[in-house]
Amino acid sequence: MVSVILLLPLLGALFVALCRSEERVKWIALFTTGLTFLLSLYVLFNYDISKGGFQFIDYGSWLPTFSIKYKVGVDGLSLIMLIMTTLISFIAVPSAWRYIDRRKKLFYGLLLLLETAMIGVFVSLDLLLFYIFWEAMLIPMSLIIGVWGGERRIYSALKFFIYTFAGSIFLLVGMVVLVIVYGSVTGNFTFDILQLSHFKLPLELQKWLFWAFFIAFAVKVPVFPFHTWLPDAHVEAPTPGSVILAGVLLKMGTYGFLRFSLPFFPDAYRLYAPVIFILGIIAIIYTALVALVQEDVKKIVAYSSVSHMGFVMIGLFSLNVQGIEGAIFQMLNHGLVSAALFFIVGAIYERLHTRKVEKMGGLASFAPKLAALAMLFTMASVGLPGTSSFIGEFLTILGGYRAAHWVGYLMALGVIFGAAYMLYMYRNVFFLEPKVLSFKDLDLREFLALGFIALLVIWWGFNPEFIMKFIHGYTASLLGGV
Amino acid sequence: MELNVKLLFPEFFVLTAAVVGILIDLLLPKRMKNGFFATFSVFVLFICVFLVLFSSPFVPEEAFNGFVKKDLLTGLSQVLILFSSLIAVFVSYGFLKKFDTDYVGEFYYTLLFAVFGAMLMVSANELATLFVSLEVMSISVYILSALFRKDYRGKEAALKYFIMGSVGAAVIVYGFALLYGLSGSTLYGEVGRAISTLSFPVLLSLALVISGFLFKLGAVPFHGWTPDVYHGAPTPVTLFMGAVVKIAAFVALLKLFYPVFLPLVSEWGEVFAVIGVVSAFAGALMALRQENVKRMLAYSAISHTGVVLTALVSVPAVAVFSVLFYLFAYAFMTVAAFGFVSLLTENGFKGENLSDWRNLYGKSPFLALSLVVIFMSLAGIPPLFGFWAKFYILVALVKVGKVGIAVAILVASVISLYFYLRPVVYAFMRKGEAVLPPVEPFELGAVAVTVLFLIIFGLFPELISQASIFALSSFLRGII
Repeated sequence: MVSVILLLPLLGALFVALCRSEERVKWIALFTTGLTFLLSLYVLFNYDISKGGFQFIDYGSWLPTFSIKYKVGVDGLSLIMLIMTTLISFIAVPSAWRYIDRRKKLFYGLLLLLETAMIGVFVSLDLLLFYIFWEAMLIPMSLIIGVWGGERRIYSALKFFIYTFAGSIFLLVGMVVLVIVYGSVTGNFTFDILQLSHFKLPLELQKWLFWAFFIAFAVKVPVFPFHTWLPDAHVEAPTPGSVILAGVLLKMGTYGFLRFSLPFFPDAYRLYAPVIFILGIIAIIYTALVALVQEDVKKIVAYSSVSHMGFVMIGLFSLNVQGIEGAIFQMLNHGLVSAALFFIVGAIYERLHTRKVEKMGGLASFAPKLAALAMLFTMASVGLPGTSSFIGEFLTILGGYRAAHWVGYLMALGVIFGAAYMLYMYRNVFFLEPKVLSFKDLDLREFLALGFIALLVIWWGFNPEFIMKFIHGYTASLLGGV
Repeated sequence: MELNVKLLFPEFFVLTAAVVGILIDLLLPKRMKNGFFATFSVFVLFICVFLVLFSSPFVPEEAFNGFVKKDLLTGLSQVLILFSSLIAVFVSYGFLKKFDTDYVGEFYYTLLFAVFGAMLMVSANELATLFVSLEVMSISVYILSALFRKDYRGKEAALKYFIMGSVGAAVIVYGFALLYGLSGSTLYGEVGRAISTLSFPVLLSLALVISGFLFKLGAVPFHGWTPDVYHGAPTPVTLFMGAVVKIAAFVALLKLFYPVFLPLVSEWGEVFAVIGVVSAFAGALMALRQENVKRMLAYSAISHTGVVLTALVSVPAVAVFSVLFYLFAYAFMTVAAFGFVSLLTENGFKGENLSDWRNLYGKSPFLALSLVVIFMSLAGIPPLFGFWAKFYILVALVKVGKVGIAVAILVASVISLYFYLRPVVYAFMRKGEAVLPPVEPFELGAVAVTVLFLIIFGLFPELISQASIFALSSFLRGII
């Protein structure tokens, strides 16, 4: 079943390539991503929570010479990420509907390829398979930034590609070292994640490999000193590109920490947690302050992503149930909220052809529907109780507090700054004196897409257990093993 | 004491075909030559692929009293040589239509002579045979570079290549002479038995032979000729140089060094590793600012050669396997890349520069997407063929604990990513008009097939891995 979900977008991309009409490809893309989403829902509802562990495993030999296997499956964590990926890809199509006005075939083809690669990252149970999807994703993503992006699109696309690639070479070397050490100790040469995670490495090696994996994941998240590619890429990317970047790509890094760093190098993970706390705190507070002075709406949202990912990182490294469950929940929730915010920014840009805050103002009087939905997502981004963000943020702060009190305090400080820049932005864009003559409200397509996410954000805000029940088993077994 | 002539049947077949080509050239009117000779060469090479497949023994066999030794390593590399040459012929057909020359027949039969040299080079089991076959190949390539009228660049390249190549050959011969003096024989096996310790003459001959090979491979510090020659030579010839000459030189190197210098493997392994890392970096750094794609690919070839050389520091079995796999990937990528450049070239060397590729996607989406596959494969991005080549080298290095070298070549690959992305940037992201001459269907088909292989073998590399392992085990039987 998981293989079908994985290959369906690829098939869709093939259909897009064969389709003769430039207009019809949109519908192919919408249909494919929609079907993929429905199939992933099917997996969600058929996942046996009481049994836990990896289910829906598909298995086949792929490169027997090096015992590299094709092995995919989902556990609680992968499942949440899978749902998030298919949902956001499904949302990305309507966000591109009018924004992408040329080379549509290429665009939707790349989008579907990208979806396959992203799903692959989250469901691979073989280290090398994971790496292949992890890297393969770079080509379509940087093409999307580079072809349909803004003014500095080429610079941003190259920076994104090279930065991420530079990070992941250390992952590749680390992987090979890990596998060869495992092979020389146990006599079993394998890339299977499940087998490798039961292996206890000596601490000295754990330290090295932890940092090798860290660089790759930290660039993707991005953790504080490695975040400089993100504002460029987010700002220059076309709306659907930003939606996917913020919604899915950033979570690959945190997913990597959970799936690999923690089970493979538990001692080093615990040892270096304080370093990550400091980096996380810097990310939360520093980028929030940076966001406060930005004039470009998209940049504000982009920096807010870095800030929010800081919460996730601290949650992951707090090594207690609250922190990790909160972090996973926050990953999902940040995916939805930031995707929605980028969608809204894109919608405004399509109408005004500017992203400068000073050129906007009073949009609420022209576009009540947009303003209402934007209000909801702004509040969700700030972490208002009743939205899903509150659950994620609260749990990660609790986790941070339990790990070390000062971390909790500083994270809470970050929440205040977060409220500041988001509310400033909202006021300047939607209230104050109108600076534009006319502004069209959301059309049905945009309203449906955003409304759908809004419903989910509120629903999961009041009923987080719907998601949490998938995570409990995963977290328990993860922390039990550490 | 047996001649065992039938073992060399594929080589003789190509040689005969080349000689027949000379005769036919005298009789044909000029306008028919291109079509006829292209078809002729394709048939010859195609039949020869089957001859090689059927005649390559798993258990190594010797011929001409041990002057020639064939195993699956030879067989496999010959298939690779023939495949690359086939693509070279297809590309040449289109190229000769676009560019005028009086020497159509000469072009094709010289190409066949070069193929013969390369095929003999990978089967050589004796110093003089190796040298002679190396020269047959090299001299043919010198001639091929200079065959186009009004092409001052090609003539300059040919002369440069000739002078530099002769020096390289001379260095190799000095090394061989010393080896003969030490052992009293030119057969690999007997020379190997005479050399066991690192005395000064051995060291000197080793240094000379290594330098000579580095010359032919175009590795730092003997890489100076590569960019000029790759740039100047007609594109199909560059394709041939990039793929066939490199395969032949590498396989000859494996077949020479492991039997002859096996006791000293740790010494020369280290040498190759150091030179490899330096080449990988030097090639990558110098390619960064190239505007001409052929020049850029020449520097990228230096970088790739460096990466392959580092693998020799590993244990012999793993080293041979990963080198062979890399050669496979590299040959496909080189052939595709230069074939692609040749497709876009028109009179006056237009279409060779990055700026001529602006907005290629607007002109031809198919070509632009092939370009992405080719250059991303060269950069080693999964799931394309080039990634696996890099991956196996990495495994080979980590296996013997050379993590530092592994990281170094990967850092070099990050640097090279920048220039491999530039064609993509030009073809998709810059505004402008691409130059697109009328495309010859055969030429396009050949390039499309290789691009398809880059994807297929990227998704399913098992076939090539298995083939390389067979070749490896057959090769090891011959040494032990």
